[in-house]
Amino acid sequence: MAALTTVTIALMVFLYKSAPAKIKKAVEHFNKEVALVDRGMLQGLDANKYPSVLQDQVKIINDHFKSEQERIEQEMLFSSEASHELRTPLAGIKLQTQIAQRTQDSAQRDKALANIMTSIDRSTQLVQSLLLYSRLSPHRLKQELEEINVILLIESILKSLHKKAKVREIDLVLEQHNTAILPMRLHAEYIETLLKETIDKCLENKLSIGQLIVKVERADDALKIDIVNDTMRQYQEEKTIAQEILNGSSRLNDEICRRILLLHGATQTFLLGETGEFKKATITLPNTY
Amino acid sequence: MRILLVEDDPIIGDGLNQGLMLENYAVDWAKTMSEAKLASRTNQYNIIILDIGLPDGSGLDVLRDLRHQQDDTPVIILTAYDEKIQKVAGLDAGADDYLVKPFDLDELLARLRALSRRSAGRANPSYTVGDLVLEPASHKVFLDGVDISLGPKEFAILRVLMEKPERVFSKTQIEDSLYGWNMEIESNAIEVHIYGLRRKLGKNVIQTIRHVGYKMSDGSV
Repeated sequence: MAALTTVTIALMVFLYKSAPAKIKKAVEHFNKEVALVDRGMLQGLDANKYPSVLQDQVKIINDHFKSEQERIEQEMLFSSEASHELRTPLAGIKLQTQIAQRTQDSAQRDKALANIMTSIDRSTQLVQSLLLYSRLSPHRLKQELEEINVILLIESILKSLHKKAKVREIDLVLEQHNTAILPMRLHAEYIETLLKETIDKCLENKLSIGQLIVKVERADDALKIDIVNDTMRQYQEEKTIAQEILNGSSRLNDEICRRILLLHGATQTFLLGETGEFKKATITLPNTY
Repeated sequence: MRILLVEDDPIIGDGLNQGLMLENYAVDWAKTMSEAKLASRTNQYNIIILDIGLPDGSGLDVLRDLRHQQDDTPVIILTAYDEKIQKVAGLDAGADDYLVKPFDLDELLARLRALSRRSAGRANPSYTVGDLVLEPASHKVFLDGVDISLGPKEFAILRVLMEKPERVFSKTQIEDSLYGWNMEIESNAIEVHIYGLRRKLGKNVIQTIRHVGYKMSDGSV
């Protein structure tokens, strides 16, 4: 925004210092166009209306308008998706409440009440995700960076997923390579969310019983975390897939993970094996300074 | 009346299943697109309740598949998406109605009754055969204006027969419209309920067509 202001002021000063009548008209036109962009009635400045010497500045301003527009559209899409995701547990609560009100059968009423509690928990989780999303900012990241022992963090995540994995007869195993994993400077809440979401998604997409192995190793100043489906080890990797097409995907959480990756300059990939089953996920996490 | 419920969310699916069964609908619950396609190809349904977002594809594909097979079963779409463009896409794909989550169970039930009437080419919300009147919305049956108390299954059987009073229904056809996939049926259940109906409404109300099935008596009760 500061860069844009500088460019805009430079443009205005240049225009005023040039031939008065022609330039005043151009300035007026510039003001009009900026006002129209501001009101969403114009996408950007019309480059043909400005002198050739200012074309680079017009392009910078237009690029800024474009990226700002994309950001706003992304935010709108996110709010829309989040509202739609909230509708599902709300529909569950309404429906199960009506069942509890109508039934004469106490077992059915108890089941409906338990379902209402589950739906409320799910709504609360979604609200938590929304709050987290609203707090994802570079400013906050900078302010709240801390030394984190990623190994301890992964251990606690695996512990929290243990019950879910056990039901599906899957063992969650942590393998630590190059023994001295130094503490990393990261944002604890963001990284915990990213790792938990990723490991949980891998668990959802492991179709067979066996092990899900989380391998952690240091690569230069970054940490490489592989989450490997052991039953797919003998198969070749087939292709990289988008996280959205995996089971257990929620657009809300996918978007949160995308934003966390972006803020940390981290990367995440999901690989299918040649049989079409999920094989491996990899997160590369650089130290943040 | 037999309904195919296509819904992947376990809590909404369970709520709909329970709510519809409380209203004496026979419900088959499919949780994926492939289950829904298989069910709709192998069974006859009076109405299909269809969610759009399924784990293995879109509910609209189920709908297109159905219409492609020249199957005119009424379909009501249930979805979290309420924009006009999505409603238009659903209706253009062959849906008969569209309801946005969260919805009211009573509204859904009313829409199911309306769809059922429309598909039978009727506007009247109640069924009348001679002196017998059945009101699906209030679950009441009147004989000569007198309110007759029927059990849930008796009511459901009478409804099946009164919807098409000229038609003979086999025992299997009546069972199919009364019981979903996971319901156990006693071998003589239909006979027992028909006996109950005759006891309450008069022995001539339902005719037995030997070796074929049952139908409403012609003209009068």
